[in-house]
Amino acid sequence: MKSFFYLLYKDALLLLRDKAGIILLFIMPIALVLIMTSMQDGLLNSITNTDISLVLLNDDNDSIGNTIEKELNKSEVFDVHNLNEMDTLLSENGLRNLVAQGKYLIGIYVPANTTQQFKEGFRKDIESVFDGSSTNKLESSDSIPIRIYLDPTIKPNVQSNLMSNVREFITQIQNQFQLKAFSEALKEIAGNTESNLDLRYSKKLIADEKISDKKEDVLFRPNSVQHNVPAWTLFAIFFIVISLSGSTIKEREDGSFNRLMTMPCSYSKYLLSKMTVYLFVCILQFLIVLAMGIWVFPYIGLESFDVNGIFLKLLFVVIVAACAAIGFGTAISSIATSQQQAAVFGSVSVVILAAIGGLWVPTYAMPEIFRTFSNVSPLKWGIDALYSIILRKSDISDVLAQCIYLLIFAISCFVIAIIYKKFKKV
Amino acid sequence: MTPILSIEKLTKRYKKGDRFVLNELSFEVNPGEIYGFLGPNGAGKSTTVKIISGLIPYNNGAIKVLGKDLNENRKELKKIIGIVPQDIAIFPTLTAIENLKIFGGIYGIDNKILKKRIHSLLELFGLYEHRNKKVDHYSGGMKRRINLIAGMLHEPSLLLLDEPTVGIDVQSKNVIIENLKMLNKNGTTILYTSHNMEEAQDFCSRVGIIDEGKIITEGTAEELICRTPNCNDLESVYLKLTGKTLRD
Ligand SMILES: Nc1ncnc2c1ncn2[C@@H]1O[C@H](COP(=O)(O)OP(=O)(O)OP(=O)(O)O)[C@@H](O)[C@H]1O
Ligand SMILES: [Mg+2]
Repeated sequence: MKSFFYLLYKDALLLLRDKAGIILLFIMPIALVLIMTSMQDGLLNSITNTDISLVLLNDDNDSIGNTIEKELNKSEVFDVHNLNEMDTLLSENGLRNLVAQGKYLIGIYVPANTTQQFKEGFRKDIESVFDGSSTNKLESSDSIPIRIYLDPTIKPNVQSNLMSNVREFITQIQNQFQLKAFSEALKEIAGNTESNLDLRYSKKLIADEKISDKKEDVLFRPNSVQHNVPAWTLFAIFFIVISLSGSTIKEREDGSFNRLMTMPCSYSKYLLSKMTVYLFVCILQFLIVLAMGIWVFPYIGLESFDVNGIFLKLLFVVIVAACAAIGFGTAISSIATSQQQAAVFGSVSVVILAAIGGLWVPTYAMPEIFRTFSNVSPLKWGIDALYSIILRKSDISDVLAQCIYLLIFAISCFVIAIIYKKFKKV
Repeated sequence: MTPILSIEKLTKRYKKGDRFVLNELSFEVNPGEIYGFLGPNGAGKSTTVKIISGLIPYNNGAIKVLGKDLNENRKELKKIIGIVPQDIAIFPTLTAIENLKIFGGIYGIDNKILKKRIHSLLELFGLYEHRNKKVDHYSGGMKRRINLIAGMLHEPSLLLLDEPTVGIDVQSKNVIIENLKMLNKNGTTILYTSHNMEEAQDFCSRVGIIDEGKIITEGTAEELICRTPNCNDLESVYLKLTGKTLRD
């Protein structure tokens, strides 16, 4: 135990003496988070927390189309833009293009004569039931032919969620209309004037409320602050590989590592000490970037990072990501033959992994092939887990998969390092 | 008497080497001796020291320290062996005090004792004034001295010195030799590798001459001089036995 304490003392001192390393580890993330957040502030905030932009084209202009329009306008979730009121692109194709270009997240198209067709179809059904030419079950073939378009860059799980919410919303309206049409048909056919099955849509739509409940889930796109704070925390954490592998190789080169190995100090103890010191560095980096987000951002006109209730969860993911980074650094130091080699390989690989992992540009803004490719980057798993906690208030159990990926990555790296060390024995 | 160090038929071939660097090397060092392990460049001296230190593996043979197999009792025996490698092995960005504190601490030396010991050793080797300087800023001779102190800080019973006096001035050399002699008087057994025959003749109680990975002759300096015709010092014995050709 005492010897371990002295190993820690050694690693801490070596780190403190490495001025360039300290700048890289602590000043760089501060600079990056400030610059990148300010730069991306306008860009990523186009989708705010309060609305999901929706574009509607109502070619029906009858009861169903108008009801959908009215109900959507009432909704607090959607920021509705009515294409009928804008004097451009009055076609379904135009609407589809607007969504495809990312100008709106959702597009809803109500074709012409929707109400008319619906009423006719329904009447036919009713009549066939009453004259006995059909089973007494109402055919639902006459569902409202509304078309919904979604931004293709929305994550698949969010896509299906959003889609089912909108569908539900429309089904509600359809059901109301069926009931209304049914009561009217009854009146006409059976002459029952007392029947009063009128529904005025006075109730707030259930579907609408459901969307409200899932609000967090739909707000998958982080704003600039919510993206950059976790992104640069992770980047900084992975950048320790340069300092870690550099110091390990330096010790090997200056012979001090060999001296330690001739002393009552095992390789695992040596590694554990390095890991502990760099884990501490990672946590410190996280706290610094977080502090910037919470206390410094408001001073420079940015939104403050909201850490309420999620601090410990974030810390947990940070520690797991730190293990992955430390493993990576250990593997590099084992394989590289010189400090320069480790520094070049370390920095280039981390920048690439960060880029494909969506740290520079969020993955949702990447082309499809890159998004699939991004899964090879441990930084992607890290940022996914952090996003999930920040944006969806997920629990640790929800991000366990990402954490396990990171740990598997860490363990693989350690195994590689140890195998390589054996392999390199002279 | 059990030898403090016994090497039996040690063979070593480097993975990337094309020949056996150690060829069934055997020798013994008895407690209290200063054993001179002498040989030309590339004879296998440093390789032997590294193997005893546990830094590199070997192919065959046995190493015993105080009668115990070194491989099986590495953890325990590490504490009684001190190593002064041929290449300086010190943290260059740390000061002398910090280096010694760390090494002493890892050996588990009590803080108070360690502090006193560091102080007296630094004084003995003329480094006390420079104790708070980074080792990087030391001269070559000063680095040799701090390298030496680091190996003897835990007062080992067996001290392995791999060319401790190479590349330093006469003053430094004398200080080192005198202090090592004193250390030996106080009970430390020394294995000393060198190709400086004059120094070895004066310093060692017994020498073994190694060439191409095996001991070619062994005894006190006087014995070797008497045994070899037309030789009146260790250097001429050495030259006669190892030849005058250059080695790698
Ligand atoms: N890592 C290595 N891989 C391959 N061969 C090596 C390695 N290290 C040393 N050798 C070879 O082993 C032989 C013995 O080297 P060693 O360093 O033990 O010699 P030495 O007796 O200490 O010489 P010197 O007096 O020059 O220090 C040399 O021929 C050397 O080239
Ligand atoms: Mg040597």
